[in-house]
Amino acid sequence: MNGTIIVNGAQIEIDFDPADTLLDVLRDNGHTEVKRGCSKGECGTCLVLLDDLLVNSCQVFAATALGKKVTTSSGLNGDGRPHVIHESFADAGAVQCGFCTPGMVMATHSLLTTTPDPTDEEIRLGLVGNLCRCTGYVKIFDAVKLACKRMRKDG
Amino acid sequence: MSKVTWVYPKSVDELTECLKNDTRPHGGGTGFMRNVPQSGSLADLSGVGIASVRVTDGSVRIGGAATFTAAASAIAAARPGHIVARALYDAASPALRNRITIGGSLALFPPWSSVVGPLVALDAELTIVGATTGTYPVSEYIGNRELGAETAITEIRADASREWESHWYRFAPTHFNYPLFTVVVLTELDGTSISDCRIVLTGNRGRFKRLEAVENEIRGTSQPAVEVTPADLGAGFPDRQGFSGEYLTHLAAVAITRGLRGAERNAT
Ligand SMILES: Cc1cc2nc3c(=O)[nH]c(=O)nc-3n(C[C@H](O)[C@H](O)[C@H](O)COP(=O)(O)OP(=O)(O)OC[C@H]3O[C@@H](n4cnc5c(N)ncnc54)[C@H](O)[C@@H]3O)c2cc1C
Ligand code: FES
Ligand code: FES
Repeated sequence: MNGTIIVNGAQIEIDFDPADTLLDVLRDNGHTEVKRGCSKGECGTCLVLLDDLLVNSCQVFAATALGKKVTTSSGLNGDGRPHVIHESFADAGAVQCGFCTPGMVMATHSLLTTTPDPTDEEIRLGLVGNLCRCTGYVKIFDAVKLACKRMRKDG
Repeated sequence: MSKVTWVYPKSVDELTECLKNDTRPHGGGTGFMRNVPQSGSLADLSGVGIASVRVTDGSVRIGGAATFTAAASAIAAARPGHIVARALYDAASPALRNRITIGGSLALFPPWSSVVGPLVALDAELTIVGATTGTYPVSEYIGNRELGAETAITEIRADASREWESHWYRFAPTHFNYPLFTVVVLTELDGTSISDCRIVLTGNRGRFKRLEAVENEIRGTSQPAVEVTPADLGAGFPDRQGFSGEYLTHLAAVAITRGLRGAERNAT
C-alpha cells in the first residue's frame, strides 16, 4: 500500500505492508526517536500524537493513519529544539538509559495539555501506560512537576 | 507480505455493503493487534459517522466507533460520576483509551472488558447492521455469536432516566494490568432499605453473569444488613494469573457486599 502522512510538519510518502503499524512506518522512515518496547500497548515507549491525540503507535495500523498529522517527541517544539518537557526531564535527572524518555515526554505533554496543574494522583494516572526500568519513577514525577511549573511561568 | 485489504466506507450504507464481502469492521484496532489478520478485508470505521456520543435526561447514546475517551468525557460532562464514564476512565491507559472503541469492545468482549458490566447492568441495547439488522439487548448480543457474524454495531443506548447509586470495582494486580474481573452494583434506596438493585459480574466462569436471584432476595433489605457470600455467585471464577478461583470468588463477593452497603458509591 502507499499514501502520505504528515510527520512533524513534513509530508512523507510511505510504502507499507497492509498489516504494518504506524510504529513500523515511522521507524522505517527514520523516526527512530519513536521506540519499540513491547509492541503490545503495554510499555508506552512508542507514544506519538495522531491528529493531536496521544496513541500507542504500535497499536495503530498505518492504513488508518493515512493523510493524518503525526507528532513525535522530536517534533513537539516545532523548531527541532528541545521542548521544555525534554529540558525538565534532563534537569530533574529523570533520564538514565533514556529508552522510555520519548514516550514519557509525550505522555507528559498530553497530560499537561488537558490538566495544566496535575495532582500526584493525576500524574500517576496520566503516566500509567509508561514503563521505566531504570529510574524508579520518583525523578520522573519530579520532571513532570518541573515541566508544569516552567510551562505555567512561560504562559 | 500480508494479503489484507483495507476499505474506507463513508456511510452506514457503504459499511453494510462492505460487510457482505468478507469484510470485518476495524474500530480501534487494539484487539486485532493481538492476532494481526493476514487475509480478508478490514473496514476502517472512522469515516462512517458512527462515533458521536449524545447524553440526554432520558438516555445515553454512544456510536459504535466512539472511543473510550470520547464516550467517557461526553458522559462525565453531562452526568458526573456516571458508572459508564468511571469504568471507561479506569481502563487501560490514556493513549489506549484514545483508540479502543465501544463497538470493538462489545464485539470482542475480552474477559477484562470495562464496558460490558456497566452496559449489561443498565439494560443497554445496541443496533447492528449487516447480515442481521436490528436492536438487541447487549446481554443477548454478547451471548449469541450469530448476532456478531458479518455485522457491525452502529449504536449503543442505555437508559439514563433512573437515578441509581452505583459501585464499580475492577480487580487487577496493578492498575495498568488487565483486570481479572469486574463488579457493577446499582442500587435504588428507600431510606436505608434497598428498593431495587442490579448486580453484574464479568470475568467469571461463563464470562458474565447478572445475579438476578441475589437481586430478588435483596430487594427490601436494609442496606447495612446485606451480605453476599461466595456461594451466591454460582459457578464463581476459574484460577487466573496466580490467583485461585476461590480467592477471586471471595473477593468478588466482598466487592458486591461493599457495593450494596453503599461504600464508595456514586450517582448514575
Ligand atoms: C495493554 C492493553 C490494556 C487494555 N486494558 C483494557 C481494560 O482495562 N479494559 C477494557 O475494556 N479494555 C482494555 N483493553 C482493550 C481490549 O483488550 C480490546 O483490545 C478492545 O476492547 C478492542 O476494541 P477495539 O475498538 O480496539 O477493537 P478492534 O481491534 O478494532 O476490533 C476487535 C474485534 O471487534 C470487531 N469490531 C470492531 N468494531 C466493531 C463494531 N463497531 N461492530 C462490530 N464489530 C466490531 C472487529 O471486527 C474485531 O473482530 C486493553 C488493550 C490493551 C492493548
Ligand atoms: S511498543 Fe508500543 S506500547 Fe510498547
Ligand atoms: S530511563 Fe531507562 S527505561 Fe526509563
